[in-house]
Amino acid sequence: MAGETRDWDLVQRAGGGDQDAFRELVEKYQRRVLGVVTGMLHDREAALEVTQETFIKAYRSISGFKGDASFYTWIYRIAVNLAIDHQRREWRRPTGNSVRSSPGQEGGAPDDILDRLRDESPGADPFQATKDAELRERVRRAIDDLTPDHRAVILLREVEGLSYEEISQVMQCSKGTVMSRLHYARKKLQAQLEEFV
Amino acid sequence: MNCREAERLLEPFFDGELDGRLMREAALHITRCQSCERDLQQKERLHDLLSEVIVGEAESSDLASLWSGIQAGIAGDAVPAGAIATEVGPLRMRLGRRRGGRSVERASRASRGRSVARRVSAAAGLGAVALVGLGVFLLFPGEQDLEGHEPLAERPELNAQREPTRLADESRAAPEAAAARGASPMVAQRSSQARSGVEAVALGPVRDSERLWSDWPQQVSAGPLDYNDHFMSLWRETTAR
Repeated sequence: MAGETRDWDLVQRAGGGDQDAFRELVEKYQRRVLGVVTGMLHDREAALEVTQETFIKAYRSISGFKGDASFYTWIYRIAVNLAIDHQRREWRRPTGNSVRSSPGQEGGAPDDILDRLRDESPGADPFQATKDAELRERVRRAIDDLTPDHRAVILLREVEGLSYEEISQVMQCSKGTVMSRLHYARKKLQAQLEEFV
Repeated sequence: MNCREAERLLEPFFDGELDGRLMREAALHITRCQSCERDLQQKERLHDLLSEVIVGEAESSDLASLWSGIQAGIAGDAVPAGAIATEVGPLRMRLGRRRGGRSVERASRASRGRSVARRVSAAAGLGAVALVGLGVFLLFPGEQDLEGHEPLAERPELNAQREPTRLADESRAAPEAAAARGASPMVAQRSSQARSGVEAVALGPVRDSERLWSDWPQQVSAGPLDYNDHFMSLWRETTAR
C-alpha cells in the first residue's frame, strides 16, 4: 500500500514533467515489464525495444492516468498491448526476422547450442548444460504455441504473480475470462511439457 | 467434496484465490485424493519451469541503456509525428542495424529506382493533368470558369461536396486504382505504403515528399480540404524538379 502511495506521488510528479520521478518509476518496474515482454516475444532485443516503447508511451500519457488501478497494472497493460502489436507486425512481415529464428536465441544446430553453452557457462557439465538448453527450448516452444492472450495471462500469473483481479485489469476482461484462459493455457502447457512436469 | 467438484477449485486453490471456507474444503480434499494432489504438483512444477526460463532470460538482458533510450524518446515528443519512429533512441537504432543488411540494400535499390521513376512520373503526371483538364473542358464547357482556374484547395465549395467516407474509401482503393490507371510503379508502391503506414519505420529518416505519402491516410481522414492540400503540395513538389 505504501508502495502504491509512493507510485502515485511519482506519477503525479512525472505528469508535471519531472523526469527524475519518472526515472524512479522506470527503475522500479523495468525488470518486471521486461520479464513479461520477454516471455511474450522470445527475442531479447525486441523485448528491450518494446520495454523502452512502453515507458515512452507511459510518459506521454501519464497525465491521463487517474490512479483507478495500480501504476504497475497500467504499465503492464501498455506493455502487453505493445508486445501483441509487435508480434502481429512480425507475423505480417513477409521476409522479416522470425521471433524464433532471431540471432542469439535458443535453437539452431546442435553445434551452435554447444558453443553457446560453453560461452554462457564455462566449466559447466556439457551433458547437463545440453539437457537444460533442450528443456528451455521446449518450454519456449510451448509458450510460443499459445495465443498472445493466453500467453499474456499465464505469464502475468506464473512469472509476475499477479492476482486474477489484477490480470483482469491488465487484460481488460472479466475475472471469469482470466480463469478460463489460465485453465486452458495450463492444460496446454502441461500436455506439451508432460515429460518435465 | 468429490474430485469433480474439486477440479473446478484446484486452479484457484493453487493461485490462492479461494476464500476461507472453500480453501479449507479444497485443501481437505487434496490431502485425501492422490489424483488431485498429483495435478497440483504438476501445476507447481510448471510454475517453477516457467519462472526459471522466463526470469532467467529477462535477467540476462542488459538494461543499462534503457533509460537513455527512453529519454531520447521523451525528447522526441517535440519532433513532428512523421519522424518520431526514427527518434526513439539507441535500442531502436541497434535493432535497425541488426536488420540492417537487407534493409539498407533494399533502400538503396529503391532509391535508385525512385530517382528514375520520379522523372518519368513527373512527365506522365503533367501529361495526365493536361488530358484530364482537356476532358473536363470538353465535357462541361459551360460550367468552367476559364479565367479563374484556381487550385481545388482554394475552392471549398467543391470540396464540401465530397464526403469524408468516400475519400477514405478512395484512400483504401488507392493502390489498386493507381495500378489500374497505369500509374508508375513508384506511385502504386507509395499508395500501398500509405495504406499500410509502415514506411516511416522501415526505411528510417524520410524526405518530405515521402512523408507526404506516408501521412496520406491521416490527411484523408482529416477531411476533404487536407486531401487537396496534400495533392497540391505533392504536385508542386513534383513539377518543381
